[in-house]
Amino acid sequence: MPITYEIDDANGWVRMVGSGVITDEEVLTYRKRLLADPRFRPSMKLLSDMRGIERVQVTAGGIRRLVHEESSHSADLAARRLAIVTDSPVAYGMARMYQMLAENVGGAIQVFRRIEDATAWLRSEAAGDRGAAPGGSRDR
Amino acid sequence: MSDTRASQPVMRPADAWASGDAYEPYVGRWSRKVAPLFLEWLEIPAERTWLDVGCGTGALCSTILERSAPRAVTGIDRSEAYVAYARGRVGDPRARFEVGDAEALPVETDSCEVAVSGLVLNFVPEPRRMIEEMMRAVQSGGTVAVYVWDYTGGMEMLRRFWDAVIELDRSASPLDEGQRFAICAPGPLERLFRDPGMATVEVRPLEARAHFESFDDFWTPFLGGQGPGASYVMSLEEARRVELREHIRSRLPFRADGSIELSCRAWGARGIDR
Repeated sequence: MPITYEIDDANGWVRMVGSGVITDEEVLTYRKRLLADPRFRPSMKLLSDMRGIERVQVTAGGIRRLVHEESSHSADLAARRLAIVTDSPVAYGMARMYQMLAENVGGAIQVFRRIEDATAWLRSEAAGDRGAAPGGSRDR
Repeated sequence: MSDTRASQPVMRPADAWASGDAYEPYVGRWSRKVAPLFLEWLEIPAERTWLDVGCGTGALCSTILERSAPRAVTGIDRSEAYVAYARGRVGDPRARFEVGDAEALPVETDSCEVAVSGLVLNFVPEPRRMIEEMMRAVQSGGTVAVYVWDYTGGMEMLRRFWDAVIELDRSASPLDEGQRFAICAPGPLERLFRDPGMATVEVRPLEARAHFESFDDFWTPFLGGQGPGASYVMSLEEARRVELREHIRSRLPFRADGSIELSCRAWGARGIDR
């Protein structure tokens, strides 16, 4: 399974780990599994660790579809805090695309190259501030 | 200029880029004049795969499709509104437009043969990173090229605007794009291309003319709120906006028929990825 997750109920965290080849279907399927998991709460902090992926086959169309589906759950997603970590330039670019498109869906999303920066952001009070971390909203 | 005004701290209005309809009459139409000169200079053969970083409303992509017979063109821009505008305006099946970050391109490594960018480099927080991303996107031996306005002189529409602003309000000088964007000059551009390791780096002026039918044709786009100059205008109170408008009017070189002809110069920079 290229994307697995663990829920730390006590601390209110979800840690997702990606490996191998990631496709549009993997991302959409994983998200459906997570949302259907009875232990999952929308207020949980989400750490998406994509450092182990070997190849990105996620497309721009797949990301648009993901965001489109999320837009129908915007009330649930308003409280989410999602940090995506990847050291792959292609995955970083795709994650930034997702961040930009999902800005209006709700919650805060940030993309990082280092796991330390991602966890620090999730732990900080500033995790609720979209512009508080590198890779946030920019003009043009 | 009143003392009160001069002593107030300058609050830089955000450089808004969101409305394709407002961008086109502001600088989009002048970008469309420079784009053919840029492509003529690049001399890229037909059937190449292009990437346009910060494609905005699709001005450069359209010109590539018209003049360079590409196999495919992908335009990337951070503004969803501009991407939607470009998708609606450019119907060519060889073109696609996506939202993305100029400093973290959502494209495969070595996925294109030419990566270009028009009038964007100086607006990204880290221009070096953008150039490195363009180098990552092109195959070895591919071309990376950009153009930016000559804010300090040859882009007269903006130069005359900022000169008039500063004559009325010296404290606004940090907003002047000629001061803010020091990278838009031959020396800094050449270093920006050479330092990451590109070969055959060249910088040259791209000279066009901007023709305004009337003063309204010059001024009205500044009321659209797109880009630094227009954002500044829209941050002013009405009385100061009128004062600025009349000050600029008094300094423009009108022809007998009421039209205005200004130079419209950009700097082009290109290099070959090793």
